[in-house]
Amino acid sequence: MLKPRKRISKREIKEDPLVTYYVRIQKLIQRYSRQIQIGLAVVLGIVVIAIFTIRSQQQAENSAENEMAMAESLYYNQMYDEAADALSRVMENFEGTDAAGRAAYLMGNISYQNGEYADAEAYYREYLKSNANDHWFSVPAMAGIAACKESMNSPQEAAEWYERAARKYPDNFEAPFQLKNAARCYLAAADTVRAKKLYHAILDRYPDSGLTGEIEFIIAAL
Amino acid sequence: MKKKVLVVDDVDTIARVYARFLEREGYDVHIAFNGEEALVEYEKFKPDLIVSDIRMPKMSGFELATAIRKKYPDQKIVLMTGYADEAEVLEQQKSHGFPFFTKPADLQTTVAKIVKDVLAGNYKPE
Repeated sequence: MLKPRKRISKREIKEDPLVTYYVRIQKLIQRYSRQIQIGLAVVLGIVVIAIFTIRSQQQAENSAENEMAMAESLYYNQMYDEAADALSRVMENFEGTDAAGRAAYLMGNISYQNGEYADAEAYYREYLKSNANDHWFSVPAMAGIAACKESMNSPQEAAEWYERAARKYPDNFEAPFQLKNAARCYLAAADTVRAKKLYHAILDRYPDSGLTGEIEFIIAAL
Repeated sequence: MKKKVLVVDDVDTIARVYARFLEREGYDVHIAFNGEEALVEYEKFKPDLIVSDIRMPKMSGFELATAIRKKYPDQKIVLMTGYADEAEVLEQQKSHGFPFFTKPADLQTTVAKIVKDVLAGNYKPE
């Protein structure tokens, strides 16, 4: 037999916590409706701006990559004058993109080949400004600065840059070669102690680098 | 576990561009700048795939591929060239049967696809 249903009084409904909560929320919404509308509009605006920014950035990246592909093609075909023009355009028109960074790096290489060492150094530094943590290119960019310093007859600074390139990613396959370059430059700067230290470091830390015989020969001659 | 790829190109920048792209695609990547260096790196790294340029000083990509296949017949190798119009290269490609693509190649479509397909054993020449 079914139990008779208990009637809920108006007072009980009023005291129900869920109903009370709902009524409170409704009152708050009514009271702050204008502020809530403004808040929602602001959030919507931020979302629209974010979507627009991301899309424009993606479009810029794509356009930059297309221009960069043409510039790189000229560079790899050793048409350096034409490549320099194309790379400069990528740097000017697509500042902040990945392609513009790569363009700066290649401009550094072209300037270095042309013997314009101060310009080359500036381009490598430009690359490192926004790509310092890209291990594929930051190491050669740092080594590029070192090579510029070496060519500008500043062996001490060159050595420091080569060493920095080696220490940035010590597990990188290039690290022992950069240390070797650093040691060579310390020798040129008459800092034999530092040079010896680095040669020994190569032997200790990189026994499989293939440099052992050559380094042992150099150490013996010092 | 990440698949290992060895990229070989005598143009330093090209090797780095491909290596960086493949690393971002989720591969463990090493590079070498000529065939001889690649042979040494191969023994240390034991890659699942080699992506090598064809025209390189000292040892060409074909010579490298042939030397490695002689010792490791199942090694997966992809060749790349900037001289695809040359009959000689195409002829060699035909006789050796190595998958290959021409440079500059679209990284997102061409390179990513050929690497993925060859590693999965699904590569079909177009």
